[in-house]
Amino acid sequence: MRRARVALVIVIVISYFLFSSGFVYEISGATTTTRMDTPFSFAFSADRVDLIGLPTHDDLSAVKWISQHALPKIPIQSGYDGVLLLWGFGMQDRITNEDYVNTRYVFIMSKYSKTGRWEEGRNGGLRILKPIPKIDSDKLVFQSGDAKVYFVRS
Amino acid sequence: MKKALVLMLLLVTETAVASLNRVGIAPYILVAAMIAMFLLVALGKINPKYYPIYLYGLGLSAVWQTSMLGSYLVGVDIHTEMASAKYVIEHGWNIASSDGNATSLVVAVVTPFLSKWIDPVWQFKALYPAMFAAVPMILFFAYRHMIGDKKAFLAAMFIMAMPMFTMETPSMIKGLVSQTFLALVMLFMFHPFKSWVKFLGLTLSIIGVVVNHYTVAFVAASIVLGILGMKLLFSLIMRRTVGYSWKPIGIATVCVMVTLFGYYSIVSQGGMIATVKGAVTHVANVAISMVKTSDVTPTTTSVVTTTTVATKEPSTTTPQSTPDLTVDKLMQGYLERTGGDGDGLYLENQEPIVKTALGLDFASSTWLGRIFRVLQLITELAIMIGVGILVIKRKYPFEYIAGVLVCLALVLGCLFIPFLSITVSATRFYQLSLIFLAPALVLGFDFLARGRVCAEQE
Repeated sequence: MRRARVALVIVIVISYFLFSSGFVYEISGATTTTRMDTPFSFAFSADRVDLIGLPTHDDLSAVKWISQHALPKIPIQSGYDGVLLLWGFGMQDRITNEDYVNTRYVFIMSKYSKTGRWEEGRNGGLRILKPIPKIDSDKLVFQSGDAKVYFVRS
Repeated sequence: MKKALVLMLLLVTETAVASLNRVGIAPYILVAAMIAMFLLVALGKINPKYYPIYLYGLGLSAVWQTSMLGSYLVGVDIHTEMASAKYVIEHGWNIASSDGNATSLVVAVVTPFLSKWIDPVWQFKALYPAMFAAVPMILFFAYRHMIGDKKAFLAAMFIMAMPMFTMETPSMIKGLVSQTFLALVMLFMFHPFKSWVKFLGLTLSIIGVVVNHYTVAFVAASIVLGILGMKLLFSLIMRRTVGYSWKPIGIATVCVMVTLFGYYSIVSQGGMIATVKGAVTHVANVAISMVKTSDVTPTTTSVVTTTTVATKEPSTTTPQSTPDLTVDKLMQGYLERTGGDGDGLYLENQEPIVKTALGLDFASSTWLGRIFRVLQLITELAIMIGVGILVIKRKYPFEYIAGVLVCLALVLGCLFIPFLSITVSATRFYQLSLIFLAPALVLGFDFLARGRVCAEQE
């Protein structure tokens, strides 16, 4: 009886760990990111579900280009993960998430190009996605792989 | 020992290389290693003198599996911290800056100093997480004299297994460094060091906690003051000094209060203290409004932000001043963030993570989600049983039991006081509280497994 109880507790602890580590989320193929269901892990599921904004080398090239060559004081628009990259490069004062800003740069990360969506925001790891703006290709001012920078002027 | 070192070195190297190159095998190997280690220790197959090596190796792999992902930074706050560090590198440290990140010594002083030799990106990705990875090992040394080597190891492993340890904390450098110092506070408080070592260690550790992250500093102050208050109360009731001598808690209290209010009165022109005062006011106002059924007369209060914008120019006016908003508007904003509709029991308007902890979203979860919630509730039950054992058995240091009760109160506050969890982050509070509560969890599970409380070395 005691052995059974010990075994049960061990099973409970290991099961809890398999959930909290994000293992269950990954092997079950879960994709829920807009509400709390089972815990996820960046290490397991970052690529499959795009849980965290992992920039590619192309994304970093694009942000560096913006920091070095973009016209100063012109607002820059991007999704949440693109905004974080821009912030890390010291451009936090220029960030806008408003489509109605007439003159602006639009930074499209590689993953935004592939999915056609970007993050509107995050709350405790949960993500809300919306379509990226449709912009004519003649407004493209920089491209590295799938990472693009557009300059939109009214 | 050589085998332990080689095994952990292999694990850490594999994790780092696989994470950098985004090869997906690293987390599977780590999960298998952690389960194997748990079973081997639980069954008494590992020599306790090698526990620290395994704890550090597993801890480092757990942290690096997140922080070393890809070639750049991972997280949210970490990007704002990088912006602040780069600003200091270019312009120097302005102690009056309203940038909250610039109040953190690791961001504003250490990173710029080390940038002469190590790129700040790699300091954030590798160096500071390697320091934080020592937390489970440090806590093992803190716990072992209270609950024995095996239980101490398992308690440390539980902390390491939490998503907050592996994901959230490595994404915020100031919190990461501050929590490492908090673990050291625990060590110097409860490990039987010589008196002068305790004095020096406690002083330096507390200073380290305070000057690196304001939120952890205020939580640490709450814990220390809570312990002091309980010690005073029970010493008065029992008419003798309960627990240790007054020196350790006295040193801790003086250090934390002097450093906290002294340092944060100077940096950022006192902005952090104003922020905390505003936060306390908000929580009180909104909590009362959420719980009471009758209308509350709107009062004007300042808006609190939980993250601070990194500014390029230091502010010369009083920072943290924002337009006043009524309580109704604060509640509206709160409900928008939590997705609540304002109707029903106020707990149903808490944020998602709190509802998960309380099991309030059970009905809307998938079957896997429901299994997880049952397991989550079992761990919470184990913690409560463990706290009961600590209090009833009375053979653990009084200061430790007091710390456990204070941390339990903090966690329960996050669950049941509206707005508090959003203001200070429920997951962060839980992780900080686990520094005291993890042994209780192990004692609770031990009781559930054996049906009795066992001697420490069993």
